[in-house]
Amino acid sequence: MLPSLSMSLGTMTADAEQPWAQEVRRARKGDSSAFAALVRGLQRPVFGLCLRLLRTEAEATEVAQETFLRAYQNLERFDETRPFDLWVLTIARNLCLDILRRRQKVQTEDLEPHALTFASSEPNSEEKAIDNQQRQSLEDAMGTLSADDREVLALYYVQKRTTKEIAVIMGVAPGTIMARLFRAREKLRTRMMAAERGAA
Amino acid sequence: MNAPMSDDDAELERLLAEVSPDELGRDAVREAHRQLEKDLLRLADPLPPADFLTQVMAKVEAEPRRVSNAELRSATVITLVALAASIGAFVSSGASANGVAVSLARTFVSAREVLVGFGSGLAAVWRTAGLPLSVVLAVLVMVTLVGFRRLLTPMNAKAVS
Repeated sequence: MLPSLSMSLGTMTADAEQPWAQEVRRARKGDSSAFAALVRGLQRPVFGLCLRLLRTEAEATEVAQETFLRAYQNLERFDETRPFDLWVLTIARNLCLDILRRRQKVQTEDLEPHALTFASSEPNSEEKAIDNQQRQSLEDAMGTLSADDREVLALYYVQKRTTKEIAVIMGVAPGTIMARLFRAREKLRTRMMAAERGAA
Repeated sequence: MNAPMSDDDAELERLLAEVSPDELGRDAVREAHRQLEKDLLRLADPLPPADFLTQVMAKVEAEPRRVSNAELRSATVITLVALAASIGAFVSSGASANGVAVSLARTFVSAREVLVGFGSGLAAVWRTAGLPLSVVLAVLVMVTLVGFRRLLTPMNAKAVS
């Protein structure tokens, strides 16, 4: 991860130069290595968001790649005073929502959530294995939630975005995010309780 | 880090009341949410496929870059300056509208001569060597063009397709 990405977390200052500004300017002039640096810094959160929304790895990869291509094509339209990472995440979100809408329209997709394994790079001790199992059951429960709930939980807890940043990405008022988070957590809690009861 | 929850206490209390009417139940939900938050904060985004960056950059390289507004402005300025300079040179050399008309008519006459000559050449080829020579020449031209095209095709076009 680029140092500039961690700098952008939790900060949204409009007057100071944005952390991505130099790379964006160089990429606009046709410097492909600058654009590669931007992709390298954002590939994980973009892919992560796509995967949590779409629930299929192949589609998430395709959409994440399309996101960066769209960002490249529209670099001229990007407002440099705004955070670049939020702009790219908004593109990714819109592309994912298009696909989800198409899925609902066609209704060929099965309604059961796909069983996804979120790989961990940690050592394989017994304790870690239990830990991974707990995480996997949490991911599975998250997978049963609606796309809106998955999105808000992923952005807040996994990507550690502020409520203001999430509001920018989702295009809603910042005041509504905490309520959405609460409702998503509550749904997650009831799903997990039901799953535990089913397993017992 | 995220904004402290205390800012939204009133809203959260209202939401908690929706979930559970009694205080004991609310405490249990509050505690369950706290635990859930702890677990959620330990989740991480998965890594994209190893060749993700390569694939993105191949697509970006294959995509023609859009002309920027600054480039368009520069091109317009250059064209207008060149046009103004040529008109200036034309006027300063003492040329008049009559002169322009005469040169234009001369161009038409010579173009007609070129076309007639080209037609006569084609007719002569047809009469003397006939079809085989024409076919051989056409094949030769096509092979040369295909060869040039293969030489000029960028290497990364294959990686994208």
